[in-house]
Amino acid sequence: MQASIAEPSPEVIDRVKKILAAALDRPAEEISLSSSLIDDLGAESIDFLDIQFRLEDEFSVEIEDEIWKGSLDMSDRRWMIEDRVTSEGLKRLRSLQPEYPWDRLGKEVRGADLPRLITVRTVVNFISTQTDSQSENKD
Amino acid sequence: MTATNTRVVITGIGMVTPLGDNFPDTVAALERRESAKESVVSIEGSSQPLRVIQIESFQPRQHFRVPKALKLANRRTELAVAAATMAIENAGLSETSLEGLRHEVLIGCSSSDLRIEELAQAVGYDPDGKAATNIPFFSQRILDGLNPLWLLTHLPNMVSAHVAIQLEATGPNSTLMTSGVAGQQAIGEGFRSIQSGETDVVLAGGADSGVSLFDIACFARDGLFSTQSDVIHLAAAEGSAVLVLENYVHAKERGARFFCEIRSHADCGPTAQGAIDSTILRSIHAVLEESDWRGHEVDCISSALSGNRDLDAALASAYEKALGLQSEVLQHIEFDSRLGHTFAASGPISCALLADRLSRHRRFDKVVSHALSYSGHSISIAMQRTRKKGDASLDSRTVT
Repeated sequence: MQASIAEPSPEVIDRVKKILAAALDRPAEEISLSSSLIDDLGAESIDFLDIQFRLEDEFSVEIEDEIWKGSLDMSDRRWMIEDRVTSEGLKRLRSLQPEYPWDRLGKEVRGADLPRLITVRTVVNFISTQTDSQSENKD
Repeated sequence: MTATNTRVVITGIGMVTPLGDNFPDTVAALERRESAKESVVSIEGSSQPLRVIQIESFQPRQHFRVPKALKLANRRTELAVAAATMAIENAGLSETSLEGLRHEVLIGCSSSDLRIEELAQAVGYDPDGKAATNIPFFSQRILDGLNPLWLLTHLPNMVSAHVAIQLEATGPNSTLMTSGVAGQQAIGEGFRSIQSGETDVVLAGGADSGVSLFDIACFARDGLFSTQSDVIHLAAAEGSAVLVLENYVHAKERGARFFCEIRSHADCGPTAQGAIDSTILRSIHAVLEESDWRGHEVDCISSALSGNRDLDAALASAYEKALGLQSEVLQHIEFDSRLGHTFAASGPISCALLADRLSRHRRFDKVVSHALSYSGHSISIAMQRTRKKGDASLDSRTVT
């Protein structure tokens, strides 16, 4: 869960921002932890493949496709019914992504909206978890 | 193909060459008799250093409406998008929506721009030769080492696809890959497309680069562009030229300026080495016949040299036989020796420079641009100063 993740190191944040800047052709200074990859940085589906490759190369980690939805897992029926996020699911999403400007989304949130919730912090947290786990395995 | 009476004019030119990042700069440099800066490259294992000319100052970003697409653009695509964007601006079409126009994109390049550096990094060490036969090994060791966008960057159709994306040209779209004549063929097919009434505007030309490590290794093996060549001083280079071809009536209605008119086009496919002379002659004779010209009436012929002794000798001989000595034969030496060999872009560069001459110098009226590939594929394009209504040469034809 997000709450258990330690605050990422400035170095990881910086490296992730540089990767996103290169992949999305954006100045690094325009990228903040709360930037949505899709809404704010203009990422398209093809960019997620590119970002995934660059992250793997930069951090020597293996990333499964699930990274893009794993942190926003909505597989439980309490959270999502027939592609619509329930009120309980919405509470969960808000707790997972507190920095996302929720007023961008309408009252009804659908499955197709979920990728929009992926922020730079989502990526940084994932990488931090992966690199921490690699360090533990080495120890 | 039977020609109709629809006239086709050139209304815009965009170009990137080692002598200039745009068409006016290239023409000005040629008129100052400047030559592009050449470097000599040696390949390990080859005794023959090569002449190479790279474009150093070119900045593609300014030509990309969607700059993020640059990460999917290889060198040929960058050069094509830049030339196409400048051609549209030059034609005065940039402020006019292309939507609703039957607008085609046809760009030629000699091959895909396979980056040997990226492949080498991906392949790595393969001591047992497993990569070619073991699919899991291939997937793990090779595909995993390539950015998933690698394929999208190097797909053969990407050159014209990116031009269309950047210019929002939603009509027919093709990238031709017929070696060194691909750009010339694109112009010829674009001409036919308008002439037959299928399209109103065609962006046609070529973009090519022969300066990557892979290209240079191939040239070294084949003995091309060697500093030791006693045939002609020719360097492998890169560049692009895109022309806006337009239906005469459409262009006139929107008040466009004309560089010249394309009168005819002849495409004679690859042939056996021994028959190349006759193939060149056939393509030149065909455009003369369709244009209703005599050989001695042609003021100038321009072509890319191959750097190969036999092919270049065949060119010179065929030009002399077809046109006599009255024409300014071998104009190509003037261009190529100073720009370098731009492969599939050389035909369009030649056409563009001839079109410019026709529009500015009254002593030029009828010209032929000719391109020849190493396999003997021969393509000629006849161009003429644009006639105004009432001129004798138009009276015999119906203007549509």
